[in-house]
Amino acid sequence: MRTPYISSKKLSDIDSELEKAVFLASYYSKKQKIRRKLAAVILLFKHGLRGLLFSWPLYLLPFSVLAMPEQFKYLFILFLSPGLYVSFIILKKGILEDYSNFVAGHLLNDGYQHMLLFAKQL
Amino acid sequence: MFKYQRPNEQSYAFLPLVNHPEKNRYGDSIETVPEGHELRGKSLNINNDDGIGDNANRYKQHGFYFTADNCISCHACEAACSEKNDLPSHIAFRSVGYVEGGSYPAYSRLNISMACNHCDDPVCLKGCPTRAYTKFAEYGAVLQDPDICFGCGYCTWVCPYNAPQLDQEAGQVEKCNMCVDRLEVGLKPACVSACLAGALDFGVIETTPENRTQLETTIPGFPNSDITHPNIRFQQTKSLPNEMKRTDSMPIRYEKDLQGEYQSKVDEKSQAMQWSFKKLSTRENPLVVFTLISQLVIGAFILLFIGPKIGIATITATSNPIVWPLFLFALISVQTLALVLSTMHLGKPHRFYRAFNNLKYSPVSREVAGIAVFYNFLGAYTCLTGLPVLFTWLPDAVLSTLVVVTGWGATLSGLAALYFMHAIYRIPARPYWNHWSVLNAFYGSMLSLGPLLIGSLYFLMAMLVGENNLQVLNNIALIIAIGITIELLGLYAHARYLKHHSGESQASHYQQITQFGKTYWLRNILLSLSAISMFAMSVINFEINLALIAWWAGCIMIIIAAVLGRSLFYALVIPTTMPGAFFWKNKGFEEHARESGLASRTDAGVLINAH
Repeated sequence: MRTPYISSKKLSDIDSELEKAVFLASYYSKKQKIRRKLAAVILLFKHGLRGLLFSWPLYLLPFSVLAMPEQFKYLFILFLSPGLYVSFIILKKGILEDYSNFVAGHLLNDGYQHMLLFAKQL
Repeated sequence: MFKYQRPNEQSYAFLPLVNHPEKNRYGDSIETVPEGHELRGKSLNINNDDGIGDNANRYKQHGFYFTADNCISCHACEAACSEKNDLPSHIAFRSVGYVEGGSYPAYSRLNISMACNHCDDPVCLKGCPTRAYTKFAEYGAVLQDPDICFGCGYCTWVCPYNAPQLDQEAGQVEKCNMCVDRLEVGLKPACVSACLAGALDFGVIETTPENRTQLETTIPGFPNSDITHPNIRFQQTKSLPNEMKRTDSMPIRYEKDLQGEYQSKVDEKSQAMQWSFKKLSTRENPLVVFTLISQLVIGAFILLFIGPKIGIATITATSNPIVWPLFLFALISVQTLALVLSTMHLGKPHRFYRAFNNLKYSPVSREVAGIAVFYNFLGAYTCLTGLPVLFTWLPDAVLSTLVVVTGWGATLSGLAALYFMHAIYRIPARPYWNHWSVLNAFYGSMLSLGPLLIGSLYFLMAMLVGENNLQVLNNIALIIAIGITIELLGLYAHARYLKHHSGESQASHYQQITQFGKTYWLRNILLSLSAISMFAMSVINFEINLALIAWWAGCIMIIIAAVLGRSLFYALVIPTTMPGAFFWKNKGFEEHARESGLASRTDAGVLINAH
């Protein structure tokens, strides 16, 4: 049977002390720590890119000040803030949820990057 | 191997091995996939168990058998299902309702226990924009993955049986899973095993379980099986009165026709005409705003882009270099607000991008894609024409080509988006919506609201610079009047259709002219008056003060009519669901629980409206 890209078993699912110890040894290994950090970067990249793709016209709003007289330039920040706020909320929720569901407490095996990028549930 | 393989399981809980015909009554093969098919021999991965069940009928379409004669409405099936699936009090995959008829001593009551019918043609699967649904080769089960679902609730609209349940607390839909884990070890679903009276049974479809003779697909209160080809068979031999009534708050009754089939009819209760403004506010309020704003923005953009090409020079980039970009950016802002609102309407707003997953079948995916394409073209067109300073490096020919491409792109995608927006509501299980007048209403609003915005802006600008020549408004007023007339014609045809189509549509019409009667007529009068006022403006060159009054009065009437009309659109729909007389399945109880504060008790099963 093929090893899953991300272990479906979480630490909390394991009852046996021996299995738990083996799992933790692997979970806190340098390799797994690096994989978890890379997974966080992948999730940030994925959610950020997707958010930009769907909402880029929102980020055009601040540029509307270019069509206004000089004294209204300060509106740039004001027009930028709704986009940043909405993006931040959605990004934060998406990344944190995916990280806690698919990365934290799981063992990341070869090919996990592919799964994080293309899985239907993410 | 599986959690539900228990020792000492009772014999009645096991599925019998029976012979079955090759095809079901709808002409579909009962064997879901043939021998040797790639879908065979796969694990269902239940609770991360990669074992493969040894049920001999694993690749046969299964279904429920319900003998209404035997059901005593004890709710054991409902309780067993809730216990097995660990459901909160506001969710039930299976529920028991009833209809009643006759009078004492010849009173009859027909109980109906209903869950998902794992249909041959599952409309939930086609409608779901996220592709959370799958019809499995194993048992023909239609299963839904709550982890993929983002809680738009569209499947709850399209299903005629109220099978998918929107859990507003979890922000996702869940539904009956046919207890496939039990089937894998040869056991019947939990609800069937728990049935005390022998009313509920389960097995390969088109077989006749023990102690049964009938395999009907209709029973009083059950929606038309043509919509989805459900896998449920009924037995009901005891004679019933010619008229059966629902006991919930829906104004529907069932009347026996000459063929002996029960047809839904309106149950008129001589209600007086009311305003019911409070009841206009529904869970779909964000959709009222989203649909109206999208129609307004698309209409306004099309007039700005196409207007000058057909001789209606309203606001242009050259004649209004400051207002032009600001107006386009304002359109983007308003459309963004509408998109954010519609996203917040989801159970999981941060998963909005899954709306694009089912472009092949789901009108929701197509609508979202249409709006997204329009939004992107609008953004590009705004940059190119509103901020030319950013594109001085582009050759003139390239820039003008890009302007044309993005302008036409936004126009065509906007029109397509509104078409798909209307397709969302063409649902056979919701007869009130399933009419072409929805398209009239959406395109009509586009033609009235968009030009109304531009006309008002033009009017304000003209007043600011002291311009008295308002001829350009004549053309705009004509477009608005045409838009309203299109909508009015649709509404007239819709009212006629509602009176004759089905019990549910008649009931919607009945509520339209009684519970919401005053609001309904106010909307119609406002629309008619505004059409007359706009037609008058288009042909008569009013003196400025009179024009001012006519225009702004028309504006107010159109906006009020649009908001009332769209709110009525969502408030009046009566789905073809099963009778649900108990608790939160009864809209009347739900309203009472909210008003009386009973909804704050978790065991009442009514959630405070917070979606």
